[in-house]
Amino acid sequence: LNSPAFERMIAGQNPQARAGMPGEAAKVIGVVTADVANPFFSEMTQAIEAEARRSGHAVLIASTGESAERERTYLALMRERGVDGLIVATSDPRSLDTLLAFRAAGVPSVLVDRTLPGGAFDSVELDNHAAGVAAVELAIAMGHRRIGMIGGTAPLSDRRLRGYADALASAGIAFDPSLVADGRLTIDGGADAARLLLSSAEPPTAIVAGSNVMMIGLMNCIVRMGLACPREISVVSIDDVPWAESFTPRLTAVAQPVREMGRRAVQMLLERMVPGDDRPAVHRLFQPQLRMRDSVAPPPR
Amino acid sequence: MTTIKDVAKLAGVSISTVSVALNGAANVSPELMERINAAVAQLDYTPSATARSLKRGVTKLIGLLVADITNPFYSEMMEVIEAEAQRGGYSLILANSAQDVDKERTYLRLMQSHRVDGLIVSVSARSSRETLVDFQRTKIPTVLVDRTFPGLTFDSVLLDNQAAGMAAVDLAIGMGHRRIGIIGGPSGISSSEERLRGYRDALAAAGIPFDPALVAPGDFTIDGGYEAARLLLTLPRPPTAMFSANNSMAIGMMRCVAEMGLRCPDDISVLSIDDFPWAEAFTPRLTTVAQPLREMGRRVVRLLIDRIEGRGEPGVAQHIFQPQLRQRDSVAPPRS
Repeated sequence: LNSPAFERMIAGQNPQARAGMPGEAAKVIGVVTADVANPFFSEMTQAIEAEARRSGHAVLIASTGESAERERTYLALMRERGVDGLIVATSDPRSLDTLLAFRAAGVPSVLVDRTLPGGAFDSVELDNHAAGVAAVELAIAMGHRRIGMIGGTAPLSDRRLRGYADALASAGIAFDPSLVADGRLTIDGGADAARLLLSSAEPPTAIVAGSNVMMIGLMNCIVRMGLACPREISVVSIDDVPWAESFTPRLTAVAQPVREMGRRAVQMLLERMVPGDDRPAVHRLFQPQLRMRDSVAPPPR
Repeated sequence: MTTIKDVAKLAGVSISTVSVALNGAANVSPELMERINAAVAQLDYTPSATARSLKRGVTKLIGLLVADITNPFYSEMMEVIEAEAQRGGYSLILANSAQDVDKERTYLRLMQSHRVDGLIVSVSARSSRETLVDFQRTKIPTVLVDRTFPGLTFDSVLLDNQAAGMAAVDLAIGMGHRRIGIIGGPSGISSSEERLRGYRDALAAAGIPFDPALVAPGDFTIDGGYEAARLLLTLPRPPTAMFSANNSMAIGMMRCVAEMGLRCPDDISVLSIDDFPWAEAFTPRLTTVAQPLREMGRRVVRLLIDRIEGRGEPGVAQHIFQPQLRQRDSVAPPRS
C-alpha cells in the first residue's frame, strides 16, 4: 500500500508531493483537541485555522472526547499522516513521551489550555489561578460569603479551584469542602454537581462554574429547581460563551482571550518549525477578562 | 500480558523509542530496530489493533470537511460521527473550511493526499459545486451532509429543509401571526434555498401574501443573524414573529432582540431551525425545529463505510430526515 513516494511525503521529504497540491498548504498543522463540541475549543480551532491560513498553512483537526486512548490514536495518526507540527490540548499525561519522540523526529508541539509535566513544550494557557480568584472576588464584592464551586478533574481545574480557595482565604472566609463539587467537565456532570450543592442543608448563594460546559449543566439545574438567577442564586462562569448576551440572564463570565490564545499558539509553533530551533520552552500565560453582565447580584436577604 | 514496557525493558530502550519504532514513524537506527524486534519476538508481544495498523500504515481514516466548526450543529454532529466511525474501526480527521470555497478546495486535496479512505463533506457555497464535480474524479467514496447540489454522484444525508421551513411558519401562523419574518441563509446553498421555499409555501397555504421585505439575508453566522434581525425589527411595519434558518443566526437574532429592549415572546415571537444543547438553560427557552443530528450523523458514517467497503447499493442514495418541533417558550400569540 505504501509506495516509496508516499513514504517520503509522509516524512515531509518530497517537496513535489506538496508542490503538487494546488491551493498550496506549505505546511500542515495538526490540532488534537479534547472536545470540539465545546465552544471554547471550536472557537480556538477557528482562530488557529485563520492564523495558519494567513501564512499559507493548513490545519487538520482531531477531537479526542477527553479520552486518553483516542488521544494516543490521534497523535499517532497525525504523525503517520505527516503533519509538520502539532497543537495539542491534552487529556493524558502519558502523551509527554509521544510528543518528545515526535519532537526528536523533527515534529514540534505547542500545548494549549493544558500542560504536561516537566514544562518541556511551549504552552499557551489561561492564568487559571487568576480566573478562579477573579470569579470568587466578584461574588465576594457583591456580598456573598457562601460561594460554591463546580470544578472538573483536570490539572487546570485544580488551579482554578486553588484560585477559589485563595480568594476565600484572602477575604477571611473559611474553606468549606461541602461547597465544592466535581462537574466532570460535562453538561450532565455540571447539573449533578449543581443539584448536590443547591439541595444541601445550607446551600451557597453564588456558584462558580469551572467551565462553560459545566455552566450549562448548572443553569439547567437552576431552571429545573425553579430558582431565579440572579435573584435567588448568582452564577459566574469561567469561560464565556457566544450566546452570553442573547438570553436572560446575560451571563457574567471570566472570559479567556480564546482567539488571541489560538493565534499565539500558531505563531509559537511556526517559530519552532524553523530548522535548528533549540530555544528553551516558552510558557505564555494569558490573563482572564471579567465580563460583568447580569447573572451575579447581591445574595437574597 | 506482555506490554510495550516489557519490550522496552528487554531491549534496553525507552517506551517511546519502541512505540516510534513499531509505528514505523521515525528514523530508528537498524541496530536499535533489530534489538526491539528481537525483544518483540522473544516476548511474543502483540501491539494493540491501532498500533498494528499503524505499523502497516493502513489506519482506516475518514475525513470530515465542515463549513463552520463554531456552529453547534457541526460540532455536535462531529462528535456523533467520530464515535460512529470509531465503532466501525475508523479514525476521523476534521478540517474547517470556514465557509471559504478556496479553503474547501485545498482541504479536499489535502485529505486526498493524506489518503483518507472516505470523506464526509458539508459544502460552503454555491461555487462549491465545481470543486465537487472535479473531486468526483478521484473516486474517493464521499457522502455529503446537510447541503447538496443536483447532478452530483455522491450519496447525501439531509434534513427535509422545506418541511423545516414550513413547520416553523406553521407554528407561528397557528399562534395567530400573519406578519412573519425569516432570517435566511446564503443563497445558492440547498439548505437555505429549501428552508426559504418552505417559508413561502407555508404562507401561501395559509393565504398570506409573500412580502419580500420580511426576508432578511443572514449568512449562517452570529453577526449575520444580528444584522438581519435589526433589518426586520426596524422596518416601518416590523414582523410580530420571526424565525432564523439556523442556530448561529438565532444567537445573533436574540442578541438584537435583547439590545433593542424587546421582550420575547411578549413583544416578538422567535424560533429557530436547529436546536442547542443549552436551549433550556436560559430565558426564553427557545422554540426550535430540530434536526435529528444523532441519527443523521450515524447514517452518514454507515453509508460511507458501506461505500468504502464495497457494500453500498448501486446508484446514488439520498437519505432525508424529518425535522422535530421542540415547543418551548419563545412563541406566543401576537399582541392585538
